[in-house]
Amino acid sequence: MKEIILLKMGELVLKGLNRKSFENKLIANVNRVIKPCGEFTITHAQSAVYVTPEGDCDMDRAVEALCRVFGIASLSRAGECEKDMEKILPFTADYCRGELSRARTFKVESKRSDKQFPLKSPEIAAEAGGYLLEKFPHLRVDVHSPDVIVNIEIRDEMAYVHAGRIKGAGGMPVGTNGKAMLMLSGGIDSPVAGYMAAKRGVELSCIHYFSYPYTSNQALEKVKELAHILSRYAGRMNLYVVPFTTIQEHIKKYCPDELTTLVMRRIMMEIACAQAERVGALAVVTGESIGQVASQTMHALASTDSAATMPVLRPVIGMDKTEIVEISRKIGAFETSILPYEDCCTVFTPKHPKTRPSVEEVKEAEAMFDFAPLIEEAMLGIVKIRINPDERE
Amino acid sequence: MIYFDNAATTRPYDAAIEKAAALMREGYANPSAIHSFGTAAEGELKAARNVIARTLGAKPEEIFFTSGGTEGNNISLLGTADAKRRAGNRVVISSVEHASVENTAKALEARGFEVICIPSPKGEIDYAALTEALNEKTVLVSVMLVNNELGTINDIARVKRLADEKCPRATLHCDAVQGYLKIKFSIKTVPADILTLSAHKIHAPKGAGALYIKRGTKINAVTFGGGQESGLRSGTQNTPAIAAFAEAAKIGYARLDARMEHARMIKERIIANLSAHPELFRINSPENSSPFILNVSTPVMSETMLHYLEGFGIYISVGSACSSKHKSKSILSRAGFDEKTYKTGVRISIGDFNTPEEAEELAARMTEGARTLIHA
Repeated sequence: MKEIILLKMGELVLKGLNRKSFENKLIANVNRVIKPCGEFTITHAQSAVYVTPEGDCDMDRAVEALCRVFGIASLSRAGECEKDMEKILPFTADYCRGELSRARTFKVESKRSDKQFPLKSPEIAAEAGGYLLEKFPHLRVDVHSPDVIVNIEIRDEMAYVHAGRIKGAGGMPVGTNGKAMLMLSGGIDSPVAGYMAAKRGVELSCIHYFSYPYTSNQALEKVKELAHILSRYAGRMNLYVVPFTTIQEHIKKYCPDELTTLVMRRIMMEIACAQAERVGALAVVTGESIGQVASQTMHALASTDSAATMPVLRPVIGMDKTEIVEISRKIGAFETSILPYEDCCTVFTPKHPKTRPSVEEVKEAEAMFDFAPLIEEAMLGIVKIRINPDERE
Repeated sequence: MIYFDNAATTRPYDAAIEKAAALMREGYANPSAIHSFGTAAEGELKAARNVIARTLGAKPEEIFFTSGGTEGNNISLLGTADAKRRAGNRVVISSVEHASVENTAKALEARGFEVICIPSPKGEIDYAALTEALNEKTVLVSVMLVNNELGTINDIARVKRLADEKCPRATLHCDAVQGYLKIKFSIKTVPADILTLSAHKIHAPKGAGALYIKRGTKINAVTFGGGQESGLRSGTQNTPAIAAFAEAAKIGYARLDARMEHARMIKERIIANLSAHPELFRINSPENSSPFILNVSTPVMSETMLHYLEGFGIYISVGSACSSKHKSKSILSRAGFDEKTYKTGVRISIGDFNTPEEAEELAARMTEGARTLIHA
């Protein structure tokens, strides 16, 4: 028996004249993620995309990968059958046996793109419903909220049957909404922020500040791993690693202790914007959430924001830690995020950080040393690491 | 590369590598097999048992091969507790034992034993507190010979005398992993009933170790199978690693005086260089500690110093490599050092291959790091 994977497009179907470009992006993304699973042909009609295996393909892995593609509202595996009601009925009972045995109520929906087919859609549904009731006498029909919806689609070549729908990743295809620079720290929040931006179709680049020997190579490996996890949703991306040790040492040395973190955040923001500009990104994405730590109070955010030269997006701004953790777990980043490698950064954390600084105050603290040459040097030392979701594992 | 992490593991001697390779290539028979090929492998085990026994002044039948220190300590504690569970339920250990003793003792606690941890300031067991803890219900006392973080040496003979007074029937176990062929001792001077040894700390491969168990000591097996090692440690013996262990032990034992002298010279060279900057460094290891281990506090966080030195290809350690992945209380803090000291303490551990030039280089880089890095 041959199976195909049926994808339902998400909100991109609401697009107008430019819908085509959204669809093309989605199909390119679908193509990319299923490549390692075998050879497939991909076609689409109306709001559906049909992923048909050609030869020996790893279908389980393909479904798993497709669940991470933004722009897909739902997906289902469908069985292929000859276009003949005599064959379709027993095939449907057989193919959907698992779902129907577990359900109490069901309904049949039908669609036909082949208008030559002798039965009309409602007739197909009625006939199949009757047949299934006979085969599964414990079932009742419920057209309003059934446990299972059995779908029968009559297409030009063949008929397809499926029941049970897997929720897709939703959102918009990555690459349809410009590019942004994600400040990726290695904690829990920033990968989630990146995930949420990517979900809205934003292509990502990541930037990480590396303070060797205060942070270790292990910590950098962890950041690479997080970028890799993120890339399974957001696609290929570049991770820019900024040598940050000298700047941090100078902040510690020259700026008032209670403001060091804020000065550091401002310089990080300045570098992120500059690098974003270099690579054609139009915004910076951070994992900040109001009030979570001293550097994320409203005052602190205002100070950091004033160093930005482009929009700063903060997708988790209004979320509680527990909500962020929930998403982090869902995307498989949590276990990596909580690996304990950065303990030495604490030497840079002020004992009593100022939580309500004025922007002017922080700017003055920053002005106590001329950081411009160090920033320039750090920019020159940026190392680009390519993150490819298909590598590793 | 400059390797000063020899208490974590050592580079095997060439002779040990060759011995293991030869046995993997040509002597790979199962030593329990009754054909002549197997008997030859058994012969290797017998020879190895003789060597290890000789280095301790013990009898070959008192040596039991294991997979290493952790397994040895597990068998010692669990096996003794099981054999003596009717005689009493108190187990006494020092507060600075290796995780393989400490966590096994915790497992005994969960099985209903009363585990008493004796404070061990600077790594040396508090003999007065020990005396107080020992009673007729005590079935097992476990005190390490050399502390793995500090190099502190415990007086096991004194522990034995105290135990003989208060609980003559208790078994005295001693984790001698960091002491074996690093300080001079025999079962006469370290009169424990059970000693744990590990191969890879003495320039032999990983995956082998041994227990010395004094004849007549009650102990039960804790894993079961084909009855190898007199039923105490079932499972096919790792003959290549065990033979290489014996090879390394032969070398280490024959040259023990010279090796200790060499290590002491390196250690003193490092201390002399660091002590020139008393404002930067503080030696945490006590005066008469093992010549192979030196613990020092610097002005920077220990991990920062480690990564800084790593940048020059110099490898040291912070905490014990076996436990540094867990955020449990560090040995240094349990040895009574203040927070600043244990957060900045690094362990330099010396091996046979280190040179005086390496000692100079290490001290110079540490001084440089201590001066330039941000202080904790």
